[in-house]
Amino acid sequence: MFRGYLISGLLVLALFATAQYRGWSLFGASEAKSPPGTTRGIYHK
Amino acid sequence: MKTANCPSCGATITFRSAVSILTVCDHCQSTLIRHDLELENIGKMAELLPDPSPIRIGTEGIYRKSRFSVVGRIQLRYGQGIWNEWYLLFDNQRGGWLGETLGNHAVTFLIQPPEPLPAFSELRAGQSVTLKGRAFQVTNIETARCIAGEGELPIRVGPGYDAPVVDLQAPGQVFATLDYSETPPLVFVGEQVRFDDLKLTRLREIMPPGWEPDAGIQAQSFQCPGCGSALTIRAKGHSETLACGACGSIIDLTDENFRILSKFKAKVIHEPLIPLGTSGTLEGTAYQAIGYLRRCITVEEIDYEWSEYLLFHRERGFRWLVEYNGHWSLVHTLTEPPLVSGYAAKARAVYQDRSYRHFQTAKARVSYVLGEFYWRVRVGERVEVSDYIAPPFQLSRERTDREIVWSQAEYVEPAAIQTTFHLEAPPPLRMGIAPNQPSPYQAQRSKFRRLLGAFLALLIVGQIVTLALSADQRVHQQTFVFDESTRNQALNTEPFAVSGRESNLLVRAETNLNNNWLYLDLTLIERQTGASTTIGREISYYHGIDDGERWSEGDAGDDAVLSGISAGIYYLNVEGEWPRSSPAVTCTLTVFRDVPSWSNFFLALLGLLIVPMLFYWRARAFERARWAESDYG
Repeated sequence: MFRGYLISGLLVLALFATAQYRGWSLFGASEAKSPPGTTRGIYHK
Repeated sequence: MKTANCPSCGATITFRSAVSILTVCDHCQSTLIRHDLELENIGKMAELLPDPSPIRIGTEGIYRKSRFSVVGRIQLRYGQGIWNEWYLLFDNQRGGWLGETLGNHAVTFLIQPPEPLPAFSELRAGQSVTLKGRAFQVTNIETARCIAGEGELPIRVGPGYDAPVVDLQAPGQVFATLDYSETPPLVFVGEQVRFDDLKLTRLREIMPPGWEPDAGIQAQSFQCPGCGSALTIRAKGHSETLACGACGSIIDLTDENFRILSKFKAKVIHEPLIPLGTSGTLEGTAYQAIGYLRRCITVEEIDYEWSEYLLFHRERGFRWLVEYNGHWSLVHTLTEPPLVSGYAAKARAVYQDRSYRHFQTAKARVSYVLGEFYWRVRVGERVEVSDYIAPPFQLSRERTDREIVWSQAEYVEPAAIQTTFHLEAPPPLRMGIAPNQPSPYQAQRSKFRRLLGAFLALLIVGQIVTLALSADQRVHQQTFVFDESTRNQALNTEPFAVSGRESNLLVRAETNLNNNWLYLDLTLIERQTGASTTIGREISYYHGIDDGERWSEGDAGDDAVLSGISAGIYYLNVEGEWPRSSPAVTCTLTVFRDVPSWSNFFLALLGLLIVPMLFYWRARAFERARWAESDYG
């Protein structure tokens, strides 16, 4: 388990460094369109 | 030194100690009491029982840099066999005693009773007794019987004389004996010593008949007085009883006629996994299995039974090998009681700087016996056992009203048992987790901790470097007005250049939204290749006062990050959607290149913590399984 962690940890750090350098991100920037004001309508009538 | 002639045989009698009052004539065994000018013969001294002690009258040694000679001995029988008290005469004429029992040795000196002592009948094992300001614990209460004496002695003894004695122990190997055969009781205080530390010389070279110093264990065969089966004594002189596996007779080995002490009927005949008589080397010593017993505790009407093998080596004495559910431990008794503190789950025992946690206290009873034992074993014998653990070690306190015995067990891998005792069949598979089984995770814990620390340090340094080196460069800014004239229209920004290495791109929208919303479809298009990335962003900002309470929701601005954008000439295609009845919405879009990002940091942090968390969870599960069988499970 220790060796596995050593290898996987190094991979995570390598991936982190590459992603930071290349400007990669796992998270998409797109948001779905929802009927705006609904929440406000419910909670702040 | 004073000499006189034996009034019985005329042999020369020498008193080396000025305080000796009794001597036994070497020639005629007369017991002679010393008076001022003459010796009084009070009769023949009984014969000493042959025992395997290497010490004899004339043996010399060193204790705390003082030389001594052994000048006398009292041989006594007590519950666990034969006990020798050797009388020592130091060079300065001081007298002392060297107690010898079951391979343990203690040097003590007679002191004046410092304070009134409790009566013999009031004492219980485990009770605290203060001597000269030091707290001792009662560990053994016996009425020993004198077998015989030899040499010169400072006290008057004779065969059949009963000595109610109490052993006391205190931390630091301090040892004391209270001898209640006189009033007030005699108090002997000293310490437990290692045989080798006494640097004894002039030891017995020729053992008594039947004993050979180099032959190791002496075997003697005889027929069981109960059933006639052939039985073998493997530790003659050390063993007190022998249990016959055929008929269940427990035989007194100290009786020349092999008297039967008791009989038991076993429901099941148990076959020891290690056949009695088998030898194996443990801790560098070749031990022989000479006895086997099974003990059990009953918890919630369920019997939990385990096996104990008595191992013997002539010089090293006895060890126990305990097997429970395929788990093995090598056990030796302690000469110094651990320090116990706390109660229940917080109870701790400290021994040799190691702290042990209380695991279980239960009444154990002997359910089956086979072979030899150094005490008068009996089926049904009960003791209260308290276990304290610090894997791979375990301390056990066995307590009766008359005795407290501490022992230390160390876990032994089952494979080592098979190899050590040359067993043909592998030992039974392990079931569950033993109280003192070492956790496979414990040894790796510090390695994991160190590696996790190193990874986190690298990650933090990497993030700091990223933040410091991010260009955070503004590459374009343009304002759009969304009103009825631009509804359902796609608007384009001016082209802008993105240079440098592949990096992220942040599109910041700043609006004048006021209790309103705007949805933007943004498409980043590379002018030459036409490659595009589309995102949708919803921007809304509401605020007001309800029931006198100010509230707000959303934000009039927005940041969106596009990842992995290569160098090139780009423009943004912008399509807005907003409420039909709303006033015009102004939106300024600013594009930045190579902005600092935290999302990868937190993702990597999670990635680095997953394995340690899994490791921690498995280590916890192992410990939970261990403690499930404790008093606290």
